[in-house]
Amino acid sequence: MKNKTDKSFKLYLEELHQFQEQAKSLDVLEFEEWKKNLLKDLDKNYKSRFSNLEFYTITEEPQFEEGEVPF
Amino acid sequence: MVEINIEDFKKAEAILKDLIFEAKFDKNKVSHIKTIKLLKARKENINFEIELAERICGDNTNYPYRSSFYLTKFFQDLGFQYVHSGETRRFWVQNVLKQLCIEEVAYVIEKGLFLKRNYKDLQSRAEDKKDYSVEQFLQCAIKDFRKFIDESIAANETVSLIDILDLNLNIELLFEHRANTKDEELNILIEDAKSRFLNPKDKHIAVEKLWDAFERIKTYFNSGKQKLKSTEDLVFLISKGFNNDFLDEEFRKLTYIGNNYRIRHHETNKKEIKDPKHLTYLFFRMLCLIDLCLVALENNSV
Repeated sequence: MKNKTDKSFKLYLEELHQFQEQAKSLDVLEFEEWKKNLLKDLDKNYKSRFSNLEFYTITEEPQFEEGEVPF
Repeated sequence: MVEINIEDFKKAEAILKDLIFEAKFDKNKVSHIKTIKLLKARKENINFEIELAERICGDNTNYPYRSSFYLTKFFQDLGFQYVHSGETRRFWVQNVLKQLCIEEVAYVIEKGLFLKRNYKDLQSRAEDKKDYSVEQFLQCAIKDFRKFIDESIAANETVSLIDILDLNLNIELLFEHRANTKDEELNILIEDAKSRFLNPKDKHIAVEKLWDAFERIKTYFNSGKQKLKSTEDLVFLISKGFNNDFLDEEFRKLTYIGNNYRIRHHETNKKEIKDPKHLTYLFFRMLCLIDLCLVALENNSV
């Protein structure tokens, strides 16, 4: 741990909860930026635990031609 | 479309809670001290959760076996609402543990894994422990668990190349320094002693040869002098800048040992040295003194 106080990690925890609440409307770019900042504050042991996590998956929404009826 | 992975969010939450715990760690609180040791094990051992999972499942036979039903019950009895539904048991438990912060893991271990009443049915699992009491089974599990934690904490320690090769630098240096005096017979005795010492069966002979070398080196300045005078000259030479009395005493002590133990003399009244560790001790004590003499003689001849 790089001399961080429990307060700064509590803030990260609050922010994590806020991202989790966004659910399907998760702002991926903002989340990735947040993750990048957090990783900078972690030592190698925590970093390796954190790096293996897959927080979300993005699926392509089906594209339809104009006038086509999805079924 | 974004689909978030709740389990991995929970794992991240556990990591952040561990970080908060570590940052506010208070060494005066007993509960903190025991938990920080567990956290250290979790941090250092990348396989911490799977190895703990094997113990909770009872795949490790020191612990009670838990089927799918009992794994769900195990966590639910502790207040965690996880339900096992057909996954490989240990991987499922590993996944659950990753979602728990270290204080929760400590709770699971203390109140769940080591719940005494669960150890009464272990007799049927261990053929060789049929007569064990609950207390004995529990002690086996505790012993295994301590080992698991200690090994986890040490998982990332490195081993010095010296230890890997079983070397001791001082010993290596002593062995490396070849005797090269003008007394060829003395040189042969010392080198022979060293090479004999490397064979565990020849340790006694090595000590004997070294004591012969010691008696020989005492006469190094013998040209026309008494042995005692030669020895005094040698002690004087090796004591330069140090303590003559100390080294004189060392010469006398080692001479006494050579005369009174079965090293150079084999009369029945001589004391036998049976334990190899004492032979090793005497060998190196003598080799150090002889090496000091060799260095002093080399410097003196320059």
